[in-house]
Amino acid sequence: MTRVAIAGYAQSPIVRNADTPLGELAVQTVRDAIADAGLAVTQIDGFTTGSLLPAMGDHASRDGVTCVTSDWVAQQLGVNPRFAAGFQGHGQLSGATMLAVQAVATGAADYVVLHRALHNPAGRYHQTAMAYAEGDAQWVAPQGLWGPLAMIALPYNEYLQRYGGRRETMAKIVVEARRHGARIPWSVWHDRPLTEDEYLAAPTLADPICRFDCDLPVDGVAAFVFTTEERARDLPHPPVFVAGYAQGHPTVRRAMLHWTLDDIMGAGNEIARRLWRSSGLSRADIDVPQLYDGFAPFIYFWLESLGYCGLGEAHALVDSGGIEADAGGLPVLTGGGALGNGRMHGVPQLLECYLQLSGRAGERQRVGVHAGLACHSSPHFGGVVAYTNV
Amino acid sequence: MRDTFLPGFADDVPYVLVDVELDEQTDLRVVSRLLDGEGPGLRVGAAVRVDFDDVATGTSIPVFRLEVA
Repeated sequence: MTRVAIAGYAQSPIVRNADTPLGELAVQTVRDAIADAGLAVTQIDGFTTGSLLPAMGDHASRDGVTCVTSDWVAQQLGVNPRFAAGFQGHGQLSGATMLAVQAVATGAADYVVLHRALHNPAGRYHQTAMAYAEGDAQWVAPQGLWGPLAMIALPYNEYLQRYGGRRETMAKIVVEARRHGARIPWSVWHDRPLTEDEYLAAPTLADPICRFDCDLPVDGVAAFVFTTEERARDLPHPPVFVAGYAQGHPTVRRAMLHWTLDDIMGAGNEIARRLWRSSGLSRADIDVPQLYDGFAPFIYFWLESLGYCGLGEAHALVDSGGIEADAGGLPVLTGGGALGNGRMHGVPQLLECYLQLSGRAGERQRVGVHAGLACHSSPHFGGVVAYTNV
Repeated sequence: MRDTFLPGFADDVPYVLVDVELDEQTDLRVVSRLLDGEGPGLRVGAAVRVDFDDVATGTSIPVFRLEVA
């Protein structure tokens, strides 16, 4: 089977509110990624993205303004691509990556640009003025369940009551993300680490979730160029290969925003099984396991799903310094994650895998790095992509 | 919940959300407010009883109270 590689990338500054319209930022970032890969725009014949969100508040969605689809980017670049597709689910970046890989591997396109454009709308991200709940919302909104704080607080409280864990432990996750995010020039948190005391002083919003457990809404765009191994070897940068990928989905139908811990972990366990099988890798091979942390408790769920500890043991692993990378712990947040970069929906995990495996991480470069994982979203509607450089 | 994105809940904050499995069917669940608030009886697995909050004429929302043993 044709191996698919990432040949180049671009990452815009990640800011609270960009001076540039999102569409313009996206087009510029895609142009930068194409140039970084040593290619011309006319060579790009495939485009893919996940353009969902912000989706829960009352914000109107406008292509090129609040979101940016593949078709829109291709049009702005003046390209009539053979392949343009968007992944619509919540595990967007892993889904969009799979689309890019499939397109290249099948020959549907020779050079595919994957981009992700995130927008921070005016007002509160999830605020709604709904006076009448219909569709899926009728089962949750009248009862007081709305927005991701409640969504993550429910399974996290299940976790705490079943297995334990302290707020001080969750602080270690956020401090680790912000420690690494502070070192990243494009991060919204550049030069702004967080202390445990600052974390613990924050009031809770949905107990015990506080604002530091949530990634910060931002404007930002990243883009990556995918092509075959053979073509990538002729391009300027060391290629990073997609070694495998996996998704898992619960089979139980739930109301919107309603997650249970067992749903999440059931899907997570299946993802891990599929990932090792599809990639031929094992946990011991992985040098940079970049876990998704849009909400801090996801780190527990991914650590346990991927088998870095037993079920219910992630809080103990974290508590004992197990993910403190500077001190020899697992480098799960060395890319800063979502908590250390802003709400880029899985970009930091993919970007850190790419930079480390292509040897382009600069001062942050780790030695002897051969394989990485990029986890995206929550296990039950996200996915994992495995990368290697050999 | 100490904050809400929904209109009409400002006076209810803080409130407790519970995920309730109905006795009538395994894994059939309803999420709603627990009127008792926080207390020592609030834990995973605790029995609750449904009640109805009449929010408007002809509109009642199912809510829950802890079952007293």
